[in-house]
Amino acid sequence: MAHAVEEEPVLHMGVPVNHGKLAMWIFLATEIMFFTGLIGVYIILRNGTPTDKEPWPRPEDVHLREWIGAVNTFVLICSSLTVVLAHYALGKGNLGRAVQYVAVTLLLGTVFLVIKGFEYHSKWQHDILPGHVYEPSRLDLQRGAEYLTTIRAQLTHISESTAGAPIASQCRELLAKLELKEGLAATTPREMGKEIKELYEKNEKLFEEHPELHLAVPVSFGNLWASCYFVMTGFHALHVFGGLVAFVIILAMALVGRLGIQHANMLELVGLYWHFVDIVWIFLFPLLYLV
Amino acid sequence: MADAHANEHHGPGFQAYLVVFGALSIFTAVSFIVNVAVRNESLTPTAGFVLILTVAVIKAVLVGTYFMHLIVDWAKLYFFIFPTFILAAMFVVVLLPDIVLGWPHQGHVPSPPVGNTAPPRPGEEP
Repeated sequence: MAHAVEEEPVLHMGVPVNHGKLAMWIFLATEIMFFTGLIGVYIILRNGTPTDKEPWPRPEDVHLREWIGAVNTFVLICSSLTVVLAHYALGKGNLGRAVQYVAVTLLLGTVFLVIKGFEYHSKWQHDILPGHVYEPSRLDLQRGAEYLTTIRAQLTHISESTAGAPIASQCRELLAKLELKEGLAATTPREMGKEIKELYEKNEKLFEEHPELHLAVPVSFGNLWASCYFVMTGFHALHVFGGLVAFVIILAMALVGRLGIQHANMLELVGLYWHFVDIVWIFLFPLLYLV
Repeated sequence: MADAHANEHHGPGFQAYLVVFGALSIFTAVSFIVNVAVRNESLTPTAGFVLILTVAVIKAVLVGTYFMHLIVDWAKLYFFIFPTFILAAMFVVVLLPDIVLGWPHQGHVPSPPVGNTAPPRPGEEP
């Protein structure tokens, strides 16, 4: 006689995911806390410090182009798609297609870093660096003297480069105010800062069309903005680079014939990391470029 | 074997990935358009901020749910992902009181007094 044997339930120890996935998610949890620290402090600084008289820098004050950030966001979203399609292809046994998708992901990640490099170069050219930005409320004593020296050189360069244009005569007027008479300039650094800001706003289109012309417009909270910007985007860029290293390793394995269907799980884990990097940028872009 | 099982594809299919990609692209464009509207003063900064951050959260949820396969793995992983989000939110909340340090600078409240402000005791000179 057959007896219905009641099977004892099979007990499993631990979480019902493979060890690699669990480890990657725990790592991502630590990364969430890391970026929350940076973003949280940025939110506090952004909302706790500026005033009506000294507002937080606008994108045009710090030579930030929103459309470049939007392009970078789209590039990372495309790369997230290609890495998940790579995993999908490898899971279905299509090794060649998976390698192609990984190569495209690597390319898109590189494009992201190149665009970021151009942005950093622009900041370097305009001296929008932590500790370098002249601020309207801090143009006293030595800092004020440095500002006048910088402005004198820039106004001279602009007036020589734009001979005949209205801006050239405007620059010469300001240069005249910087001429020392009996050891004193006709204007203080703070007043000069206001006039430089007016000069820039009157000729904003010219400066956009001629990026080689630089004018050190004082930016309130410019140094704080630069610190936040470079820390947040810098750490994000380092994470992007780390992901690219992983993709290079996968492509190298494919090149020497060592990548196989058995590595689909590995590709999924690298993809999880890459998607997290994408999610961080999804929040960094609006916080830094838009709002 | 566990490894062979782990290497099979679990989760959304090819078309689902493309649909999510399309949605993410559209949402990115929406963020940019809302920002332009705020710059043109068609929208208030507060409304723009709320819209843009809402779109960012939706995008993050889409990436997490479909690209990171949480739609399949959430039941297995929620027990530590969810507390992480709570901790992350609490981290920002506990820092929020520091905003009041900027209030005297912003003119919302008078600056705190400096030095000994206690009234002099009888017989003591002020």
